[in-house]
Amino acid sequence: MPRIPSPLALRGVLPLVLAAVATACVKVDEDKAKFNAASQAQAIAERDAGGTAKPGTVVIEETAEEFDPHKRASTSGGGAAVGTAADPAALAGDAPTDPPALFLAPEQVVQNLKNSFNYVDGWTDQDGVFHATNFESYRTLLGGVDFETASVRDHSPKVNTLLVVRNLAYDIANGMVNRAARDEAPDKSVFNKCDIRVDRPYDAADDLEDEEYRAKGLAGERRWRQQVEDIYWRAYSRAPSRDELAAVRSMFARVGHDWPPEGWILILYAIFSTAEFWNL
Amino acid sequence: MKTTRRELLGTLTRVAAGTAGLTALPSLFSRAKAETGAPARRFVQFFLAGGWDSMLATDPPVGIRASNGNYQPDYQGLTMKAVPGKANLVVGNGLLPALDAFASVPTAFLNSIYVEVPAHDLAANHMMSGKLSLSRSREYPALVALMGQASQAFPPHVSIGFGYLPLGDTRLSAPPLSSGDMDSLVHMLEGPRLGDKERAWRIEEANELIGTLDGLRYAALGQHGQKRLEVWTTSGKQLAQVYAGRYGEAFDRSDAAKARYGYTSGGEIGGLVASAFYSLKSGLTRFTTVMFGSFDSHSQHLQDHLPKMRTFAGALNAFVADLRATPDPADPTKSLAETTTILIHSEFTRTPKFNLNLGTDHWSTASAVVMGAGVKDNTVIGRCADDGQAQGWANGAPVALTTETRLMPDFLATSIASACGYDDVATRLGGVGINGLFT
Repeated sequence: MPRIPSPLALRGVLPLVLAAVATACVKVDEDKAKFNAASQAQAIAERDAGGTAKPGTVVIEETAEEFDPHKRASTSGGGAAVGTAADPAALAGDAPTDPPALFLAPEQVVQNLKNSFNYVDGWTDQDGVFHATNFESYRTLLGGVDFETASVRDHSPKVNTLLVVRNLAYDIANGMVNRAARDEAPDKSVFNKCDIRVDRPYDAADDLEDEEYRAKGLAGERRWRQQVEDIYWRAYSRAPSRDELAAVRSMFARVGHDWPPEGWILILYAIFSTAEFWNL
Repeated sequence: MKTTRRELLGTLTRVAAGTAGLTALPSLFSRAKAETGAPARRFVQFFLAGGWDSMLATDPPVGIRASNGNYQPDYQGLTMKAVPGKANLVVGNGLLPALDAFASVPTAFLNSIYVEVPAHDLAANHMMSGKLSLSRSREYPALVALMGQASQAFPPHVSIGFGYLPLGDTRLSAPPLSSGDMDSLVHMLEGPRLGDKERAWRIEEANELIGTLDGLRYAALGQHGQKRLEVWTTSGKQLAQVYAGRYGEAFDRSDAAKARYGYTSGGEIGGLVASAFYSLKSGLTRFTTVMFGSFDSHSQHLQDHLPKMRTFAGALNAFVADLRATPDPADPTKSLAETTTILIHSEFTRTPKFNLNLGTDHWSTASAVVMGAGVKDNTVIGRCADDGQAQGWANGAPVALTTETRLMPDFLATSIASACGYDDVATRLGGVGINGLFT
């Protein structure tokens, strides 16, 4: 039987290994930075020159734009704007193949919801397996993942998947917002940037109110916007683009004006239903 | 012109030997198609998983079997009746509540279907797929999955209830729309609801937002990214079709409907049977599987098994009555009873005698009821021997059991596929049907 080296024996080797890994990471980061900088510079130069950006090229917008409710968000312009890392294949423009996006397994989505949104709804059985109540209640194929025979895996989504996904998204959004909007001991783990029951987008009718009301409204919209951005980071690991924020704001203004929590339920429902949330 | 099974077997043999030409088999099925008109029928299978008791269903111990000592005497204390006007069909106590259903639509009983391996999953796979796989790593798709795939409809087929439905390679290409109970199925079909109709537009707004966000993301990803999400996009379009179909509205979940089918919760036997009816009525699907678990009663058989069978039979009665009273959504000139073929079966039946726990164990025969569209009425095919063992069947009579005379699940699946108008599926299942089962 081979002898396993004791941790003490590894003490001398470990720093060397860590140093080598750190050096490699720094090298990769430098390469990434060079690549991103070059891509951005090229795209921006092409845009500024009035030319058409290379297909698939993504322009990274600068963040921390000052909010002005009277300024309409752009819906088009010199290139699609997303505040996220560009898709490597799209940047390269010459990806040899287009494999289907990887559909996240339900367990992965459950973990994401737990880690990013502090959302846990389920129970652990005697074998230590966590059962997500919402997910298992449908007892159906979810992209080919059969909860009855979980060994059979299929990452490709089917319409059955989307039927379940929409309902799951709504159930989870509903539970999350109700938890945060309740009178007693509201959960602030997700909605900690704004007052979920009050803050909403500033609208034209607010302009007719007195100055104090308008000031409160503007402050409320800022907090609301910060909350949307925070949710985007939790869900997608990126900030929303200007167009995305405009779409979300527009919908919220219609459905959440009277009772903002309902607007939040529907925004979360939409975010949890997107392709980006369920696919890698 | 009828074709006997023996003729079919003979033809197959000749085909194999190269003496009859490769067109022999298709021509036989073409003839069957010409005889029946072979409409693309609807098909519902009720699968009583765990092994139902034929003595309480299609093969009660009557005649010499009542007293020859091979059957549990307890069965003699239970009422059994012939279906009114159909003297050949003697129904065991478990299915008596469905007597009206058997009387009102063409019905055939099949007994003594040979079961190669009386183990649940293997036998269930064989019974539903018409193919025997002795390997757990090789799964053949169920007949309903093959027909659903061949129909190229969406959803290909619907599966309701809990249990093992073999999907094989159709798992990826044509998976069913499946649900454990009626409420979940309706919930999926309707999509998220805000509770009252006045607020329904808000969900529509949110659904539009999903489309907008997806569109912005696709645009940002470029063509390669879009291509990678193509399957998701296609599925999204199908989703819109399902919501637009408003299938969920056809599901009657009123107390009156629950009382008629004998259930209180959508996951109970009656709720699952009712779900099958509403799936057909709404036009959601042509092919439905309903699976009921827990018929594997190894103890207290009559206290456990019998009530479940009677509950199922009561719901079946309501199901058939509703089919008769409801026009087919694709052909309103006909009732659903005229366009739907129903199969009721299980992976095997149970031992004729009780074990020490007053239960019953697995037995190497199976039985089935075939009802509805195209079925040759008042028909009994197959008969167990007086000791309960499987027998062979040839020329409409029991014969000694041999590999050539066995009544196999393959033949039943093939017959149904052919009767439903799916000759390619019938060919894939071996091409040997049961003569005299369908008109």
